[in-house]
Amino acid sequence: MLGTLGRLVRPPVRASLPLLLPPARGRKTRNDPPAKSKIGRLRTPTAVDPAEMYVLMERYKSYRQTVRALRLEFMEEVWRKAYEQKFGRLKDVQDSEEHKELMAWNQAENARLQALRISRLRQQEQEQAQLQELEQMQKAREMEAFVQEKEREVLQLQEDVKTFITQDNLEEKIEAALDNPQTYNWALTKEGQVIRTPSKT
Amino acid sequence: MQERPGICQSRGPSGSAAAAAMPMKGRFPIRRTLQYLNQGDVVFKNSVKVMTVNYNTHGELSEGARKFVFFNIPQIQYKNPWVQIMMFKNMTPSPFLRFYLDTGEQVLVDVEDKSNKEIVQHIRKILGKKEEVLKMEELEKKKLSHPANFGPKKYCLRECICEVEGQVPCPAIVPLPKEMTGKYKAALKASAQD
Repeated sequence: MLGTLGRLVRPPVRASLPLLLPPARGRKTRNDPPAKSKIGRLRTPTAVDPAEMYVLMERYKSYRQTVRALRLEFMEEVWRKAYEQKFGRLKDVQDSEEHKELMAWNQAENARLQALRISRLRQQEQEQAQLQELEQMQKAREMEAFVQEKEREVLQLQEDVKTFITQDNLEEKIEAALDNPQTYNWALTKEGQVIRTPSKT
Repeated sequence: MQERPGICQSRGPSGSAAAAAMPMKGRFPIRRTLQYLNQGDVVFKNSVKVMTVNYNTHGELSEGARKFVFFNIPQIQYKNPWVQIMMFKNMTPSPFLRFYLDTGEQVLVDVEDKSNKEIVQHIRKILGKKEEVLKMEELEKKKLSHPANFGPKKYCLRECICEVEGQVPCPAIVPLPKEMTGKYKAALKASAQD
């Protein structure tokens, strides 16, 4: 890092001092090759404290378990949201579409019934009009018949007037009546035979 | 459901022993029986809140609506206790049904010159829950209460195995044979050890 300058400045390391800290990256960077003196160097593995190791492993296990669980929870939430976004509204959309369809069918049914009702009302009106026409014709006929009857009566009366007895032809009628006496003294049998009394001369 | 239910007319008044104590009321007392009410198959969707029926008391065209009101409304109300049903007589020249949904939508159903059976089929088609949906709901309801669970009567079917027919009866009522008691078995064990 500092190069040869750093070597001059820093005091040399003494082997007598115990190595309390782990070897820190002092002079060499990560990518620098190891020194020639270190070729063939085999490290003795660091001594493992079993108790510490056990505790460490347990702690790592529980930590990883917790973190994995949390991760999965969050992932599940994300997946669920994505799924809901994609397919969640599907059922509601389907239901609303079905509802619209059924309402349309209902409207069609109502329209059909309305048409039927209109035709029925029209038919009723026509029948009513026909009946009224017939009634009117009947009335006209009756009126005509009545008028004719009245005319006939009038003519009859006119004819009867000729036979009426007035002040003018009173004497003539009296004389005619006296000349032609009429006898009402006759009877009818059940068979319809007329029985007259024998006239007295 | 037939138009004119004649199922029980051949029998006497509902042939149970309590018939004498329960007098028949009304013109068609069968409408008051649970069996009749359960036979109604119109279950409205959750969005239906109110149903109004406008019909006339006279007239051939209103006959179906009158029959619907007389025979089918009790069944519908039994199956939909939370739907408000109102009847209006002689307000309009032609009979109709009107449904009020919770979205504010109003559905008009013309029922002039229709038989009561047709009316029921019509409303079942447009606003009734489908068969599959009803089955699913029933299944869900069943899932909530497991018959194999033992516990308080409020939550479970039985409290103890002694209530089941064919099992050992409750020792509080019928004392256990001596050989089945824990006391005897413990004594036996103790004596065997000795």
